[in-house]
Amino acid sequence: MSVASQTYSTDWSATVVLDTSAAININATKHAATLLGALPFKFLVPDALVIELEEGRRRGRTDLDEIEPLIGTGLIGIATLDDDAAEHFMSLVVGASSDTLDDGEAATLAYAARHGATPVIDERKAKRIAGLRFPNLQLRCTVDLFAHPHVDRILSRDGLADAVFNALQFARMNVPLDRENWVVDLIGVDRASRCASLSRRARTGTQLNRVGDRRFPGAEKKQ
Amino acid sequence: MTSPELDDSRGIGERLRIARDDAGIKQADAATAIEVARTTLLAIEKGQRRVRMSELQELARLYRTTVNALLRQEAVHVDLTPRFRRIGETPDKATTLAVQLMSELAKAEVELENLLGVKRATNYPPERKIARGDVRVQAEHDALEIRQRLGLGISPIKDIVTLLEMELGVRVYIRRLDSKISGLFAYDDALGACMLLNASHPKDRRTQTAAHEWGHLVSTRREPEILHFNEVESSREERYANAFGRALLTPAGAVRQKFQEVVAGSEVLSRRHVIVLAHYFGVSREALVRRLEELQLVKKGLWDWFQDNGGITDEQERQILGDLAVPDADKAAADRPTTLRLSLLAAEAHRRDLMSEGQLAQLLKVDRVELRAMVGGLESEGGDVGGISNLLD
Repeated sequence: MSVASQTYSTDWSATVVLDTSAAININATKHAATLLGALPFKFLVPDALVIELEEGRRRGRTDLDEIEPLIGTGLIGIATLDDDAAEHFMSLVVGASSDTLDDGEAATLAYAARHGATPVIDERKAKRIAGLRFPNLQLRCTVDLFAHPHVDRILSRDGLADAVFNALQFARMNVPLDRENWVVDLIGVDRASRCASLSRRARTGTQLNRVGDRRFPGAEKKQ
Repeated sequence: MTSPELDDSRGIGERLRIARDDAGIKQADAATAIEVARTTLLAIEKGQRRVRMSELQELARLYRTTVNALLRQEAVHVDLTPRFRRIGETPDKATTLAVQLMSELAKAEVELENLLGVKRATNYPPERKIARGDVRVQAEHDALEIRQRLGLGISPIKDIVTLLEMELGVRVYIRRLDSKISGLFAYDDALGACMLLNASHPKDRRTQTAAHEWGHLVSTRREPEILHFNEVESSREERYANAFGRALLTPAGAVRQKFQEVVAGSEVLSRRHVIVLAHYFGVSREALVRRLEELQLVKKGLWDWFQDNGGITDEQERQILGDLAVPDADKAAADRPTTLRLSLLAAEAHRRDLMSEGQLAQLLKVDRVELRAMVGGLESEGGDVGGISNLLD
């Protein structure tokens, strides 16, 4: 399977590992507990995420303050690397800059690869490296969580639109190009025009393949 | 099964030692953190004992870095911080933070430049060790030589930071520091010459600080330097640097010439004259008057007289200069999460998939959202020029 053709599978594992990039997006929705509680997964974050956000707290960021209660109530667990996962981790952090990842990104992929979990990671380089090192690993992005059918049962469409818009505004959430139509349909063209992290096409309302529901075009394709 | 281990083939031990030193952590405390004897930690740092991954992670956390930052190939490992610690009594927290800041900025810049294949041209002036005799005479001579070398003549230097960066290749950073610190200077073979100036100070003071540090680049290049506000000259090196700075910014010939023009036959030096002359040379009013005293163009003690008689105020300067007052763009730029140059390098490294969001956030010491603002937008779409190369070969 080539890197370019690695698409997002419709299958989810029972365990989902959130990378820092995803966790920050979810925090920014202001509905983190509701969203995570609605989804039928066991959520984990790598220890490296906590360490990174501790450093952020020293600089005045509040992401750790928002995640800690979720860890405290058991909604999110900590992904600890065993020796096999540690070998994966080391292979992802040692080497040339272009071939390595930050600790949190590496730990997310390492744990997921070792335990058959689904990593949620928005970082493009991480997706490229995962495609090369772990071609069978099923990757997801933050938007995939928002679009999960279970979220429908808990949040109204307007509520979800507000949550996604918050993630775009406050966290500058990255949205893959093949997910942008869904996002723009949800939040509307006017709000989309105010989201700097969306592509110019999405911000100016120029869209291809308009869809009426939450299924992504090509979501059934798996190679 | 034991935690995976790494041998020292990549110089991990030395990198760990540098990181520990940078963080100001004692060997004993690091050893305690990973539950080994101090001698074991020493052996790890000397590359005599393999380090376990679990130990690496714990040490990275203690040193406020990451395993990837410690081990990735292109990372720059330079012990700048400890050098400052050795030049005097134990520095206070503000000084330590300033030193760490300059160290982080320079190392990040060098790593990104290396990754992107950017070659920074340097053209440092010849070193001039301080000889016997009057340091002021030597400093005036060396400053004049610099001006001649750069083709400046006796014209005022309007933008010393750009001059240092473009003509000499010095890395100059302007960031907000504690007000008692004017600036820092250090030289390292891997980083080159680096200066950090205080954005919280007015521009004319920063200019004088930069000129002073330039003096250290010329005379005491390999000794790091911290300049404190209102520091008393305590050594020949400091007297040289101060004299060099004065001579560079207010060369004697130019001052005499301009003084005659501005004073225009008057028998007293007025506040207006001082304001106009200081503005012309880009120095503070005090520096200007003291230079006039030094060149014996006015009576000694004139600045003290002004101070005892109401001073020369910022309001008076605004009245005289009006629209001529120079805006301080560097002060505003210093409030951004990192320097403009670093954000451009980071955006390019991210666009080319050379570094991830996590790696860049850690390298630049910014949070994820700040980093996304830096690297996102136009760059993520291939720019506003359609992504097709428009550069000539």
